[in-house]
Amino acid sequence: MNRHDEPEHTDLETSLDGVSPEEADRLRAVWAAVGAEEPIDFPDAGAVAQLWQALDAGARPRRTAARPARAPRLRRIPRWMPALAAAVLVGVVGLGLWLRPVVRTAPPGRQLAVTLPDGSHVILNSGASIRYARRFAPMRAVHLDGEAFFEVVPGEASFVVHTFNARVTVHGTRFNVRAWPGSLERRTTVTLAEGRVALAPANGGEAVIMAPGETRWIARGATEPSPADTLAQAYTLAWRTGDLVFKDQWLGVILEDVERRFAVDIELLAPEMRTRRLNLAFRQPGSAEAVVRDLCTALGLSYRETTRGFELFTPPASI
Amino acid sequence: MQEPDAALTALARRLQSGDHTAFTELFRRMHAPLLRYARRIVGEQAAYDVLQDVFMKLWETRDTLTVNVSLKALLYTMIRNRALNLRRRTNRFDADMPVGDLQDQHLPAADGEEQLWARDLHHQLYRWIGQLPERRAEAFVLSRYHGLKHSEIAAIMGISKRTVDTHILLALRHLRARLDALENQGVQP
Repeated sequence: MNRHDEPEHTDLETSLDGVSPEEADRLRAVWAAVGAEEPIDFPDAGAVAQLWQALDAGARPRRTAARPARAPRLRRIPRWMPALAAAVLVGVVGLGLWLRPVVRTAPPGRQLAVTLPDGSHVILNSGASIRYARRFAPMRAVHLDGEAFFEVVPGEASFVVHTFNARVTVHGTRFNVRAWPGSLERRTTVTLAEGRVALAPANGGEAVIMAPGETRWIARGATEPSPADTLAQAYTLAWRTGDLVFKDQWLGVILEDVERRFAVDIELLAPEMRTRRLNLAFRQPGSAEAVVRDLCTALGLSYRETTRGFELFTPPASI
Repeated sequence: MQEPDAALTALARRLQSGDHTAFTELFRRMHAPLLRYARRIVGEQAAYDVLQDVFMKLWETRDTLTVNVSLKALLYTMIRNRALNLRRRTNRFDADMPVGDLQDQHLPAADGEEQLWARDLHHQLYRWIGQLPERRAEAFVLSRYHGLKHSEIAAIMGISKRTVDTHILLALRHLRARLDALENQGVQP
């Protein structure tokens, strides 16, 4: 055994059974860091008091043989009403809708979690959209414009992500796809976190099987995927934690990401800077301006606010 | 360590015999964790409704309570069934709620770039738990924040204890990977 001998820790030890001692130590430290208290300010004391009043009124000790009255509900909405309305609506327009593909779009400035008909999860980065047939069989196929992280549940039918220039075939796994059709960055980039996927150009080129931890991309018009980059995961998945991380990336592409993340327009009035390559990492930047300010400082640019965002420009030579 | 569960068993016995003060006591003890658990599934507003229904039901069926079954696990199971039902019936698109909304609502805003590190590692870990697949997050939360045994979680979620063991391990690995990634990224340029 080890130093943890309180009863609730024996369960943790069962979970750690079979992992290396070093990893087990690290995971115990993570467990400790999480803490036993959920760091949220909920429930609300007022709402609880109101709830208890309603409950208590309904659960008085029985004085007669009668069953206690049901407690009044906090919000009186006849339960069957929405269900009936929905049923009628579904009956009328259901068929029409059934035949149309489903399109889900994450608005700029937000991410959106989507559950697909087969139970797979997709998290869309700001501005990305996904399209799929409501009848998700016999093919599990989606079309992605933009960036998304997939958690695909295993299934008989293989799962395929189509982008403007690539095809990712999957068998139950977690991976990230980035493919902004109109972007300066003319490529589809795939990072595999777990499992196995095959990546192929949409134009019929050869597929490459990817291993976990690998990142590969397909440039527009390319006939085969790039070699694997095993170090890219740290930044290609950074958006999922709200971070903004780029390695050796064009300024133009970085600004596109900032625009989508914060729902702003950014104009770069120094076109020669568009292909300037940068490394940078922002941990959960709070505003577009925080990012723009730092970028300008680093690049010797100036910026001013516009009605819908920012303008970046080369400062006058001398003042 | 046995003490809290023993107290709940005593409450269950008193409740069974129609003791109204036992009902009050049980509510006082359990409402906060149960509401937090329900909130994970149906969101904040509906969580109160779910809790009300469950306690009402518990009171109405108190004479059929089996004292052998852990009252705590029973309450969590009732909350879970009720909440999932409600979610299925009322709004099937709840699952499409923007990620983070539910998680972040009660957290202090992350406003700058530098502050993140030591100050709210705790909150950061909590957000990361929110990124786990729903059932994995659920198992982990029940184990860590609610202090339930793996066998109880298995009963509540209707999965095997072995699966719970695995969920906890994979959840910890996910959190560790996030921490590692954070530590390895130097802020550049």
